[in-house]
Amino acid sequence: MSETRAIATEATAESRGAGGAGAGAAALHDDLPPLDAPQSLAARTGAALLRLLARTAITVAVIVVIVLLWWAIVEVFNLPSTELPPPSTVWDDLTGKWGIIWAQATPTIIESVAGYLISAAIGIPLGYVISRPGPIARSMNTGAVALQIFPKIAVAPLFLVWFGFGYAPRILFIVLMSFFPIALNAAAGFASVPLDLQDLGSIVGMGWLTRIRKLQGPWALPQIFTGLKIAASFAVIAALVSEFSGGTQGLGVLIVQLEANLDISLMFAAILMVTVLGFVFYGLISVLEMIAIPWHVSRRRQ
Amino acid sequence: MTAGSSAEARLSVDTAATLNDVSVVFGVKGKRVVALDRISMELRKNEVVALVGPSGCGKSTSLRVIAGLSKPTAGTVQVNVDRKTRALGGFSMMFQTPSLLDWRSVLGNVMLPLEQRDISKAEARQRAEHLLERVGLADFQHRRPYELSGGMQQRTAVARALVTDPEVLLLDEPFGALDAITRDQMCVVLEGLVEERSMSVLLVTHSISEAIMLSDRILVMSGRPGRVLEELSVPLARPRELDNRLDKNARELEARMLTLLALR
Repeated sequence: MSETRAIATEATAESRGAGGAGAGAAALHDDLPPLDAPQSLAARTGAALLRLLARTAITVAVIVVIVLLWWAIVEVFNLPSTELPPPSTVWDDLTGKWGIIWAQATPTIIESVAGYLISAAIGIPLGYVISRPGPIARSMNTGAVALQIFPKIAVAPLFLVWFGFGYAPRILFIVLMSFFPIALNAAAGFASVPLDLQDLGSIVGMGWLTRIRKLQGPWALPQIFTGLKIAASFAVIAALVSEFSGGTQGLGVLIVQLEANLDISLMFAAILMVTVLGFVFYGLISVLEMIAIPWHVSRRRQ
Repeated sequence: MTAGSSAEARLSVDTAATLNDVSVVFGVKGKRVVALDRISMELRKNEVVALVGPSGCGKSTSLRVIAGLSKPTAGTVQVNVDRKTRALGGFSMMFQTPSLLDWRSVLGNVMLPLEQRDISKAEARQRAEHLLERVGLADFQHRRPYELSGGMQQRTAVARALVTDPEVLLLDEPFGALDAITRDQMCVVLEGLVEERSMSVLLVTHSISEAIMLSDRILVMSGRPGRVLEELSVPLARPRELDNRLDKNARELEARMLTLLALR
């Protein structure tokens, strides 16, 4: 009933407006300046880097504040170097014994990157499958959730028994830790494609692969990147945890040894290295995101 | 209306699509929802038909069945046009939302349907540019959709729907999300484009004036369960202008529709 009334009011409003409609029809152009050329990849990359620079300035400021706080805590509570060394000592160790740290950082980097790439390669297609309707998708979803909830840390030492002391058990551990946020976010992205857009794909005559390439994939990309960024921070931590649970090389092994030797200052230098690795990893994915989805980023800027 | 025609009846060459006693029933959480109850209608070649009725009367479902997006639970759908053609022609559809791809330029959006047709990229580009010019967006072809106003976005959608030279154009409340003034402008743009090419158009709308402005025939539908109450022909010559809605016979038509739609 209210529907019918709505139609009636609309009709009267429109017939009233009809007198001056000729002028309205002429005003087709809205007040937007035309843009002659599309932005090239180089221009977009440049713009992305500039935005990154602005963000980096904030990051640096935050780091400075944290270091100052760290230093103040050491000073105020008069902590000995064996409990919490001041930033200056840690920095001296980081630069002075860089060779030791870098040697152990290399395997950690290799594991994290390999594990991360495999997670992405599994997680994104898995996300697509989970986003589809039907029992297969639901069972895949249950499986992924089970894998995520299962306390992998508890069985991490067993991985060494099963897969030996090489890279394999640690990469597997990283994959198990970081595929889930990628899959879950990708699934949410693929599932959120509006119905009209899906219908458009059907009407236009797209096959499923074309749909993924031209509609669902680009639509899900911002969400996929959210997952990729979360997983980027997970991957380095997961590498460290897998090294803690038994291994012969890597920053995790180094940290455990240094703690046992009470070389707390160098241990903090190693921890600092892990933190920097995580930051760099996350930063790289963020830059990739800004280059890959300018339409999303520029919308956020408005 | 194709009263009494059997399901197997051959479509006449003048027909684009017919629904014969079509019912659509959805199962939503164990409940049966009747979206369409034995509806019959005919869309002839080169005519514009408007489906007008209250929300939930099944007008959008009727359109989706013709588009092949919904399957009828009972009854038959016959379509005289190849939905899956690789050549130009076939079906096109416009939605309530512009449904543009933000990761493509305006031009790229208009070219999208042509990528599924056997047509060279150069020709596709030429067609798209020509249509963008027709809808007044020539200067905006390299813009991204989110940089445009709502009206401009919907004009881009019009260009995209027409770029394949469709034989059947399905419009599902195409201007429902626009303000009244922009909607009137869009009506004029669309009327001109429909006028200059031969295609069958099925328009689903809430707006009486939109139906009068655009169509040759209006099917007024009742609320749930959806039925065709009356078939009205629009006594206006083409090309039409907005002022034609104030003509005496247009106003009589409007009054008749208001009576049909009131309090049901």
